[in-house]
Amino acid sequence: MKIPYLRPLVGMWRREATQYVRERSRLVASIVSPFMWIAIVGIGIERGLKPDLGSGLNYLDFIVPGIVAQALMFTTIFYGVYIVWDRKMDVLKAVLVTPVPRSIVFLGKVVGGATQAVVEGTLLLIISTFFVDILWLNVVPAVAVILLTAVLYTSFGLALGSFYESFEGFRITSTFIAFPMFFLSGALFPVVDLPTWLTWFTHVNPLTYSVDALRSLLVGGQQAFSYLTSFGVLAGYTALATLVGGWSFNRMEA
Amino acid sequence: MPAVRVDDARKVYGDPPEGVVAVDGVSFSVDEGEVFGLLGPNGAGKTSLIRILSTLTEATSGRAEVAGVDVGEDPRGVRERIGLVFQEPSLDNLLTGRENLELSAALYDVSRRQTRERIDELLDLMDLAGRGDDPVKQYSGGMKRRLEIARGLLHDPEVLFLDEPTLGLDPQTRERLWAYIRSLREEGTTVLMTTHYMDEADALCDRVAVIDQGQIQALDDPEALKRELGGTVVHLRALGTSEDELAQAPGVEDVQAEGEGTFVVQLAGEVAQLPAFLRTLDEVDHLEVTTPTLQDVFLSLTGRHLRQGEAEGDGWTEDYQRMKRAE
Repeated sequence: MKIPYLRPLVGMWRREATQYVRERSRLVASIVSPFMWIAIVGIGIERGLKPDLGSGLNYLDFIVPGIVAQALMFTTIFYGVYIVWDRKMDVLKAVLVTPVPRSIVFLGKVVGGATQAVVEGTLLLIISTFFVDILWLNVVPAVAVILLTAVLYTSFGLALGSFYESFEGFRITSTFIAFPMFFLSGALFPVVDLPTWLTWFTHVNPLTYSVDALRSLLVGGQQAFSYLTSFGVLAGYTALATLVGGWSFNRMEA
Repeated sequence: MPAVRVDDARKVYGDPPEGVVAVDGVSFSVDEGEVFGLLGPNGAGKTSLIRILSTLTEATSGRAEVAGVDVGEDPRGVRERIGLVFQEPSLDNLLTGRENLELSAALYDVSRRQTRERIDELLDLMDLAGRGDDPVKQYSGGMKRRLEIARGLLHDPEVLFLDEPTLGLDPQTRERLWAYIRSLREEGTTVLMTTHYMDEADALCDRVAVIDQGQIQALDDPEALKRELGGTVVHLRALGTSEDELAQAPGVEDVQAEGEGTFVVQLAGEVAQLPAFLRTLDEVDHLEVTTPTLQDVFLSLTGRHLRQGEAEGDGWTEDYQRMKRAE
């Protein structure tokens, strides 16, 4: 049986993958910043402040899963810049004039972005082993969290990017969204005993659930949410983001 | 069944009353295998028409069919049947020429087996065979345009749209591109192209619709358009003849003596009349034969030149020089 639109989808994925392989700087850039967070901020705070996290974790244990999730989020949200790029280079027009439905065009880009994120996530996990002891037994559910997070934020970034015609506009908005999500996700500090309005934000922030699940899967320690809650919330947000993304691609003018 | 049929199409950008009317009640049809030109100045509505026909935008009113499929009712059906080459390059510069074509083949769901064969064939046809595996960013403007035409043909479209195919190309590339477009006609592909170059429309098109301010001003084959304006004009200098004598010669409609043996003779009809006329002369010092150009046709139809500040000659040279300066 022939799966409809499989060939266009694979074709688009191949294009994204080829670009990724040719532009090695993308991969390097996506690794350098999380490495600095872990090696500089992580080690610095662990040695300098010796925080008592009360769950048998030192600060490096604490920050590594958070930074992995954070790095994935930044890479994938900023992946939305490639739809701005496609539009600017008029490549988008050439794709939109083909018989391929918009939803497939969107899906092709999501799969491309998520692939890059999973490659990055895997590399970060390997790098992490130099700093902390990873619980390798949990690697499969951890990769599932990575994948869900990647699809969620790639969809979000692409949906956002579909509204922009300039790189600068997209960059400013996405940075403005990504940083608060990072700071209020529990990646850097436990999100307990915060003022109510911040607690409210941490609870609607999907990255909180990625960080929480990833942390207990990779290094152990106490969870703020059950796995069921985290996976459920992430799956819900992912579904929402892909729907919004599909819709936003449908309304795009070539 | 015509390859393209447009029936009273209108396109208004923005809301009335301030809306800009880009296409204002256009009707025409293109036969299968024909090379059809939309000729007009920038902003005449040519690109809007192409966008309507290629389903990139919807007409405000009116109907359009491509390869028998209604563009409003079944845009996907139309997309499957057409190839489109845009005015601006739309290739992925990070990929090689071949990879760009492979992406397009995947998007059009051309079978893998056919894809290889077809890509080789088209790279060959477009003289890119040796460069297929180079990144597109190393291509010249002419090579990019040829690759785009190859991409437009990859899935064997029934109708190929070319939007200003030679805009900004150097003279040699332009000539070669014309040859490729002619070879498409020999293969039986229907081509609908826009241009604002008179000589291009003249050289390539079976029929031309002169379009200005969103409306078709005239539609015929280029020869007929020029004929309608007036036949052949002969400037000659022959001391041994007279105005009366020339007026008696076959095909002559009008003779004007300009003194010192110089005459301007207007022949009816096409150049076909010319040999018969020339045989009646026995001594000529100077002879110059001109035909009305599409430029003259456009001028007489609209009272305007194709482009502002373009009084004489072909606009193409000016465009080319302008683009060179801009580089």
